[in-house]
Amino acid sequence: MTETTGRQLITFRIGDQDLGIDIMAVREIRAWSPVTPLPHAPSYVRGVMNLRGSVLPILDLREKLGWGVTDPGQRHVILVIQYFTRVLGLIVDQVSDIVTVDSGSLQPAPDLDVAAARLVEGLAPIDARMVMVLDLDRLLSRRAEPRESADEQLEAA
Amino acid sequence: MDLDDIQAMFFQECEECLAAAEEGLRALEEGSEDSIDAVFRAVHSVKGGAGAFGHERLVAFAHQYETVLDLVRSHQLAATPDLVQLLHRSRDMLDDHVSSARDGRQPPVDAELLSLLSARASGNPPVAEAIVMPEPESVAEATDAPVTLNFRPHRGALLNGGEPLRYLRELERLGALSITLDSDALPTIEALDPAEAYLAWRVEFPAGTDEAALREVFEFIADDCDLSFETPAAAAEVSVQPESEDEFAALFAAAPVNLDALPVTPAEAPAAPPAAAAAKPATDEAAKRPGAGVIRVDIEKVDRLVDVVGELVIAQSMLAQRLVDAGVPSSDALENLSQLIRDLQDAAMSMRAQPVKAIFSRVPRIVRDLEVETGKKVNLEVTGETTEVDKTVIERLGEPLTHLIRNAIDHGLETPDERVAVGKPPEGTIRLAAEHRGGLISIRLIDDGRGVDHVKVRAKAVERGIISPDAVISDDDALNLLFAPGFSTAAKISNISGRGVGLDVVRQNIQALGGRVSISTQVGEGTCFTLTLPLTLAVLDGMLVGCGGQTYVVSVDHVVDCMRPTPAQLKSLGEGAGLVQVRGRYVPVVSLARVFSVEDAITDPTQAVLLLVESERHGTIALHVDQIIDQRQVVIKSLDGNCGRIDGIAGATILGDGRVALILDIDSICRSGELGSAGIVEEA
Amino acid sequence: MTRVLAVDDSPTIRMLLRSALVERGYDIVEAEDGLAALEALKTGTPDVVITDINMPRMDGFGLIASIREQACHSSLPILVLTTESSPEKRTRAREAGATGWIVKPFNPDKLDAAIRRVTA
Repeated sequence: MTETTGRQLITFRIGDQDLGIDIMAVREIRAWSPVTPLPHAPSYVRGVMNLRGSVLPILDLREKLGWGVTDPGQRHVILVIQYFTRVLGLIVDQVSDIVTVDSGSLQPAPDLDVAAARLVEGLAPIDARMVMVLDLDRLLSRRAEPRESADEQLEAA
Repeated sequence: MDLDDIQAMFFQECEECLAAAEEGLRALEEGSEDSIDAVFRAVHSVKGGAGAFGHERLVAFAHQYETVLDLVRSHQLAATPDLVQLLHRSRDMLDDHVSSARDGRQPPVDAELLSLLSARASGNPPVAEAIVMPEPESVAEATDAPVTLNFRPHRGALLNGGEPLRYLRELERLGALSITLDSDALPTIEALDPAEAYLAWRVEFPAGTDEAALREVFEFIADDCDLSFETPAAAAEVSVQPESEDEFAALFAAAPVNLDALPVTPAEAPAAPPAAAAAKPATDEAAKRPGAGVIRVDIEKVDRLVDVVGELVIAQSMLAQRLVDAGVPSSDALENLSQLIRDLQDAAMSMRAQPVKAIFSRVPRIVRDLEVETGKKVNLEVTGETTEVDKTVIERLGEPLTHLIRNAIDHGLETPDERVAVGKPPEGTIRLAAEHRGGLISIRLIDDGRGVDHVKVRAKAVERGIISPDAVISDDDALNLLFAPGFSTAAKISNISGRGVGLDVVRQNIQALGGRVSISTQVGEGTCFTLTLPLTLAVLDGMLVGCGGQTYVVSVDHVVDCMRPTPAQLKSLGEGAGLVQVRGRYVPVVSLARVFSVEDAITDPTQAVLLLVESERHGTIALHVDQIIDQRQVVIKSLDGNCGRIDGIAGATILGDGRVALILDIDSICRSGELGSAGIVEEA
Repeated sequence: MTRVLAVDDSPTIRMLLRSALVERGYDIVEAEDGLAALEALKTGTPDVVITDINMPRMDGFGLIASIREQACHSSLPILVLTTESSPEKRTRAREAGATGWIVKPFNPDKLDAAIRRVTA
């Protein structure tokens, strides 16, 4: 995913924070529409939505990052991202623009014990902003899934 | 398509060829002599394709195998039971070769079979042919002198579309400097035989022209022409070397006949009948081949069609919804449309249906391998192979079925000695039967082995901590413990049935397909596993219910009844353990709102609806929902890929208004209604 | 464009032929055995036929014989796909009425050359 020359990111905002995701991972951007809640799911999984016949889970990114809870409405935006074979949506406040960052200018995330630090791959200075580049691997690892499989539960028991 | 795609296709084709070979050999065993032809062709096809992708060991084995098959089909070798056994084993080895080629592994050790096959082949006249790998390029030998080629085709060279003009044109392309006609042998027109070859040509090439390349031009008629090359010294002796156009024309003028009028194409030569082609009688195998009248379609195209038809169903229901909302009364036209779309959907789904033969055909091989490993003799009977099932079901049925068969042979059947000791024939019998039963597919695996003793199962379950020692359960429930995770009746984990892959996984796999597994057994007599599966995975007759403002779907198959209870019918065993009295029975009430933590639901059952639903293993429960909305066919969308497995949810569908409705997994919801009952540890 | 009728019961071989030929500017029609090939011939004459020998329903020899029986096709170039080019095989192919042969597994360039040789 990392190119030697530069990386293209889509940047977006949650509250007054700027974040970025690799453009290759973003399939489309949609306006918010009501979702169907999923039972037994973590609270940041708001539910599922219909995207042209496919059913996608929709995650509240704000909540996942530990910055509160989104009360989604018409002005919110859903980033549909694809991670390997999985497709899902992230609720964000607004999408900003497409930027290119030099791999070299990406600074590592500080080693703080907050959810945001764990999910961020690095920090990129773009103009006057600090853009947090999300680490999709960590964001979407199966452990963050709505429900552990039966086997995992059994082992834990 | 790139080479990898084509190779993938090739391996797909190999599957079919290997299955056809298996079938052909079985037919051969049963006396159908012609079947050897099909086996030969199957192996030939595998060999042909494999060569293109460089699987040399595969080609080598296939070649030897094919040689023996050829001898059998040309009646030079008799198909004795012994030989057929060898052919079976060779087919299995070829199967292994294909698998290892496909998976990129080392080819299997085939030395023994190769020598057995070659021994059979060598007892016969040398019909065996050498394998030819792509010919190495010949090295060009350049000379300094101009190269001259003399070409005189014989009569035979003109046949079969052999056209000297074409050869000359190709020589031109290769750089011929001049082409001179030698018509000396041409008779007068009265004596002319149109089919005879009278003309010859002399062609000059620049120095350094590769002689081998020139010879290659005549490859096809090499035996039917005179071809010679000249060194410059010799060239001087041969005349007929025109040096000017005039002389060239003069040569022609000297001929008694206008060459242009001569038939150049053998097409007009009437006396060129095709040689007695040893045409094999075009055996009309259409009757024998169920494939006649079949076309090959990419599975992706069919999937796409099914998807689009699924969307059509949704679009139609959205339309119907809009019309209802707009107050338009329902009409015949709409009903008609609805029916047509249902028919279309059935037709589309049926295209994906394949006979279970696709998986059953692998079973004989599995059985043979197990016979060798366990030392038990097994008689396999298969029925209902033509029963059709949706392709998606077939794909996922293979593994659980394989496991059950291994189980049956490894654990179910006794050794020949044990069997004889109890008065059974030494050969055990495994029956595999598939049939349609009431809108479902039923696949039964029956063995006549030792059966399962529920007492032992119970004891083992206690030993493994699956149930408590004083749990009171019925014999049937005891048997069902076989499917509990962590259970294995083998004293040691046998290599055959696998490590920790128990019947619990089989049950999970089948349930994931929307089906059920059950077992019935008789100690000393045998065991029968029954798999019941839906015909298609993609569509469901659903009852739409509302709960807390959300819509959920329940499979109509599971719904027995629905009611609004009176206060008198509601009983209670304590907090959260409500019961409803229905026709003399007490049925536990399970609140969907509670199981799913839904807010804003109607909490009072007497103001809501109780849906009586039946599950596979947990009996009947009364599902408490807000209201019943509708009943209709829905297209199932899987959640697995994006969301993972969710307890209580079997999938999702898209409603007429575009919103997602979750499809309930009745079994797991029923289970939630049985927390802590009867001392059985809750399965996660 | 030169039109090729490719006849072989192995979809893999047909695909390999297609892949090799389309790249080189040929137009290709496929048939899975002799009978299908004859059907295809009814709707139009190709510039060359490439056929395997071992096929169900009607094999290569049967096909060639049938083609040659039709006067309009008696000089249609036909190449057979053989597994090797021994003299016996060559004779057999020629006697059956083939114009030439191609050895399997085939080299796309040689295939091209062989076709050009018989369709020039």
